Amino acid sequence: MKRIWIFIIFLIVSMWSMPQGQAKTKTLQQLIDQTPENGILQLPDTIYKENVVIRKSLTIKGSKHTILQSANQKPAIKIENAEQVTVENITVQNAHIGIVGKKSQHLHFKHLHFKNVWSGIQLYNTQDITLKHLEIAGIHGHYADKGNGLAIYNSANVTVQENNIQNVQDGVYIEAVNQISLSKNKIQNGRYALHFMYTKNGQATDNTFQKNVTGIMLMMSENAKLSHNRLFEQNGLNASGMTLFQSKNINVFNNLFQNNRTAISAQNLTNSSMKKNTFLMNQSAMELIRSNEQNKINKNDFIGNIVNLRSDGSGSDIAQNYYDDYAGIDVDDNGIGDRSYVALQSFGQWMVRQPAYQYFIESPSVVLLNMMDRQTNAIEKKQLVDKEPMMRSAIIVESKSVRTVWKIILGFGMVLAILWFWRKEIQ
Amino acid sequence: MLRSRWMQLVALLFVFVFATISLIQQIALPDVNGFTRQTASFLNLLLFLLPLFILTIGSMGIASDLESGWFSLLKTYPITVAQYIWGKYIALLLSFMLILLLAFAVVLGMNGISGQVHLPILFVGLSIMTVLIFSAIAILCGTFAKSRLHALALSLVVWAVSLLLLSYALMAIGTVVAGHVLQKLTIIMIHLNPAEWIRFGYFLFSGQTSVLGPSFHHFTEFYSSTMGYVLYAIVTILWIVLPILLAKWLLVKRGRQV
Amino acid sequence: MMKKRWLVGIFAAVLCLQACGDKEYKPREIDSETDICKICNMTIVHKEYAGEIALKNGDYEIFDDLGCLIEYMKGMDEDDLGKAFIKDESGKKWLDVKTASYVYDKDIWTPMSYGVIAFQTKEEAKKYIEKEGKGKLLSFSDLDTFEWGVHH
Repeated sequence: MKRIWIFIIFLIVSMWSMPQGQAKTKTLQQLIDQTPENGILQLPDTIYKENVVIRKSLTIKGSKHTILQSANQKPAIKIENAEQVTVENITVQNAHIGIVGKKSQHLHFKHLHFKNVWSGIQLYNTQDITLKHLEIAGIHGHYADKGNGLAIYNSANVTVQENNIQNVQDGVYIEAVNQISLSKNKIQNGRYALHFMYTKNGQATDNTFQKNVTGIMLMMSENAKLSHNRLFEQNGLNASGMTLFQSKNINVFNNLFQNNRTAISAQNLTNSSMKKNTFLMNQSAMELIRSNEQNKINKNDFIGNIVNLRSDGSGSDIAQNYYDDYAGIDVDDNGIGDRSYVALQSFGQWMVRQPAYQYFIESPSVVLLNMMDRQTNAIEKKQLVDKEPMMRSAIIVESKSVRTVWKIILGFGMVLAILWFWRKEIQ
Repeated sequence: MLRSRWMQLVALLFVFVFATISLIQQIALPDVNGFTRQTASFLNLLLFLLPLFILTIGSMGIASDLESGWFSLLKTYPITVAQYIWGKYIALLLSFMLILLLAFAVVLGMNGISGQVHLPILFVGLSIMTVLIFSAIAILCGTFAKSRLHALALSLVVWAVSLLLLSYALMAIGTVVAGHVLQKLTIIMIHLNPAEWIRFGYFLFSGQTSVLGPSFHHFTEFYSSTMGYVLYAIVTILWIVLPILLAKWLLVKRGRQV
Repeated sequence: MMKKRWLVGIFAAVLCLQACGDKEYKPREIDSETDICKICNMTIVHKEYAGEIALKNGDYEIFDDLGCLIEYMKGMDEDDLGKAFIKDESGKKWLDVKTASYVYDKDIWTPMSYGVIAFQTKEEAKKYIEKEGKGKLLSFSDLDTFEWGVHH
């Protein structure tokens, strides 16, 4: 009994002394204010619970366990009217918003770790930004209740590289930005991995997007280059690998689309091209709405998709793609099939118009309908016709072969047993 | 049942088709979970072939009993109509189960050899469900028919309606009515058409209800709950029991007339 | 005989389902999980800016932003239109698009950054402009010629 009392007293005393102990060390804001212009602030392994504001040029470097927490709605770090700020190696957790930057230049964020945040970094009216090696994990729940991992508004010259973002609304939200390059990022379990709005000269290469509603959502933008990205399993409700909406000069090439609901949904594009992409086992590979002949769909590989191409009736320039369900032959052996490939399917076209038709996707009746379509479509000349279908695919799908002895024995054992039983029954 | 040449041919066909389809489809492509063309063609194969053979063979079996007077002879034995019907049903069930088992065994053996061929456990379950439901409907077709030929014709009609014609009718209606009407009619059809019910079961139990699209989200959400599973089981049992009870009632009625 | 009765029954059911929709047009609840904008395909995560059109046949078309709704209205057959709704500035109340008043400013954020928000009355809209110190008053007929999204 006595021991317990002593223990409780000890607890109370230690609880009293804790905040005093912390009060002796300076707050992060005090440390920042003490650091001279363009100075370097090296932080120890400490937990800071506050919201700080930076209004000058400086570099903040954390240690392995430097943690910043903010329990309120304000951002953990706010940067305003600064000329050059670098923040490195800090963990921000349990904050509503990690970092907000406004009207600043030369902001560099590296090796930051955001845990349990509503939104990671938000930047307004900034220039020359680097976001590198960031880890962002959002809160639990429906994407409608979350913020964006990175959000960049009205800015220019942004580099977003090798970040890992998950469980947020939009992985990177980009609005009215000029010159942005995103590469080697991994973004998953969000609404849109990349969301471009009114963006000029954007570039996304070598990124991996998995299990988002949409991998790349690009709207009202110009001059974008989307290449060498890998988009897997965007296959939930209304999901797509890329949705490209009302944009100009968009080049989509060398991307891999695998197991998405709709790999590319393109609406109202001008002067855009989709080349050398691989569409592997998607429910629908490409949907073209309000397109025109200036949009080129060339040299893509369509393999194992349920619907290859569908449109609302508007035309596009479709040529030299490979289709695994092309049935023609190549007599002159130039690698191009002698007969046109017609991707038009009545069912595919209906699906564009009325979403409730989705129920019938690849149902027995639709499969038969598609077969009939193939006969009647042979004379189609304009809609969704590829006059030069390739005979060979540009890619080779690797498949490994493993021999399992028990399955062989069990399988053939069962076959023999059944046959023996059958014979016995007959006799 | 097993004695007939027909059955042996069916067995051969099944083994052949299952083996080749699973081999051809898997070798060329990586192994992916989800609704792809492979899984779709496997499902369609199941939905096309199994009901066709079950319906024709099953219904003709009963019809020939009735036509040849075998049934009248049986009635002189101490055997009730219900016993006769259930006996026929179980015989049909067992023969097709054996054929399926044979086909699965071959696929399993091939899987062992190449490591490429896959037969998801869900398809085994769905095949069994298909056999259970369509055997019952086959019995009903058989008792309804006046002759063997009539039984054959009837079962072909039932097959075509449930697999093709109903969907086409619905798609045609969909071009004139509003989206929400088409959606409601589709939900009604899922329950009234055994082939669609099995197809819906595939999406439900593979957790891929999102394939059916956002308009069916609330419907599939309900069926993904415990209550939904219970209801699914009840409807499935009804699809087995009701045709058989109806067949029994028809036979009893006809027995009185003769 | 039986078959005819069936057909008649089905048609009656279809007609009934059709007819059920067209008495009074009411806005329906928006579901962030399933609803996407008819025009731009965005999922509706900001319900406070959403718009919708109740069609005469009982279907609803959902929009994430007023601009998308107006674009759809321009392209649609006027006879199909039941009633068009837009959320007001508070994001709680549905307004009739044709009688609402609008305020545009390039700094107002909306899901498509079109920058136009709705108010029930002209007075409310004016009050908002006064309070914020910026913004331009628009009526429904102005929206027809308004150039959406050019300020960027």
